Amino acid sequence: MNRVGLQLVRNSLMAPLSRPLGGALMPAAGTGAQRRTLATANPESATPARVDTNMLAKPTNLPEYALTSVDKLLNWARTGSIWPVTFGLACCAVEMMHMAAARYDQDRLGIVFRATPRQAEVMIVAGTLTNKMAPALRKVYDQLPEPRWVISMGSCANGGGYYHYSYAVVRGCDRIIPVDIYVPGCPPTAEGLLYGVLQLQKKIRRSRTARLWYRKI
Amino acid sequence: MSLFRQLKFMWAAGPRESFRQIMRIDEVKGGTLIGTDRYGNQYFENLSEKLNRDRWVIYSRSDYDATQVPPEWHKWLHKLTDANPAHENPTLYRWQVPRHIENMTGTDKAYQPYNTTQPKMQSWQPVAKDRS
Repeated sequence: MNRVGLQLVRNSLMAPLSRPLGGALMPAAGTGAQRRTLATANPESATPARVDTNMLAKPTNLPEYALTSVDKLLNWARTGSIWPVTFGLACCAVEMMHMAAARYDQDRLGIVFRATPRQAEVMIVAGTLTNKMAPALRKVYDQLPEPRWVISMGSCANGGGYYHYSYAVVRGCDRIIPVDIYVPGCPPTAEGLLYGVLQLQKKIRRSRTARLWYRKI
Repeated sequence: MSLFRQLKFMWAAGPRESFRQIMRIDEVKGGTLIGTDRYGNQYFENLSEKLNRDRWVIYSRSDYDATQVPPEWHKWLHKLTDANPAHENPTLYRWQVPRHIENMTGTDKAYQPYNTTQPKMQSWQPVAKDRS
């Protein structure tokens, strides 16, 4: 599977765990009940940390420069037409329907639900994956044409959730298929799922299909 | 939004600003600039708009994300307050994050949760057999 995104996720998982976790997220513990104001708290915070989330690697030679444009075009086309196959298994599917309905209106992002995996490229696993359903899930995933992505929606699909200790439930759909985006929640709101789709768009924008093809030949 | 209003706002905004707004929010809106946060995002209000569409943000960056809105402006944007966050100095408590960070998922600065329990799985170190 030559998917860059997955590789990135895998690399980030393999990062040394001895990193000071949350060091950037947690404020420095002060003494006493400190009451600071935002204006005086951190004057150098006026410049936000800028990370180019779209292109992680800079091109180094001429073919890579050219293929970066090809990649951008490819990623633009892919982000604009995310067609998910709906794998609605439980109550999460209702929130998935809300994403399709008028208020959140997934169609403005080019997302159209397809009933068959052969016409889709994204699978949204929405709900509890039982042992009985697991072979069907794998089969549907195998029928998705490349490139394909998977959004795991809700606690049950992420890691079993409420039914984690049940004898009939798979403890997370990532035991069956590789998952790109995990959306937390029980169930996640339609807004949350839509944010997950936007994160998937970011991930697709980072993919380097043409450049990796060039590197191989 | 009717076509007439759209054209009116496009005329008022000018071609450059109209293009920017279409790239950011897929339409051209007109309203009063309430304030700008420290990241350069601009916050607008037009109370004659539809309910829940009368306050909006124009992001400063093209790769925008909803988590780029700092919490005090999020409060204003979602109508938890009417007070202008640009004018007031909100109290920053100890438990609060002094510097708001956007969602870094997918980058090398992504949040990584840590585990306090023993790992249940052991990694396998593959060893190639000497074939000479």
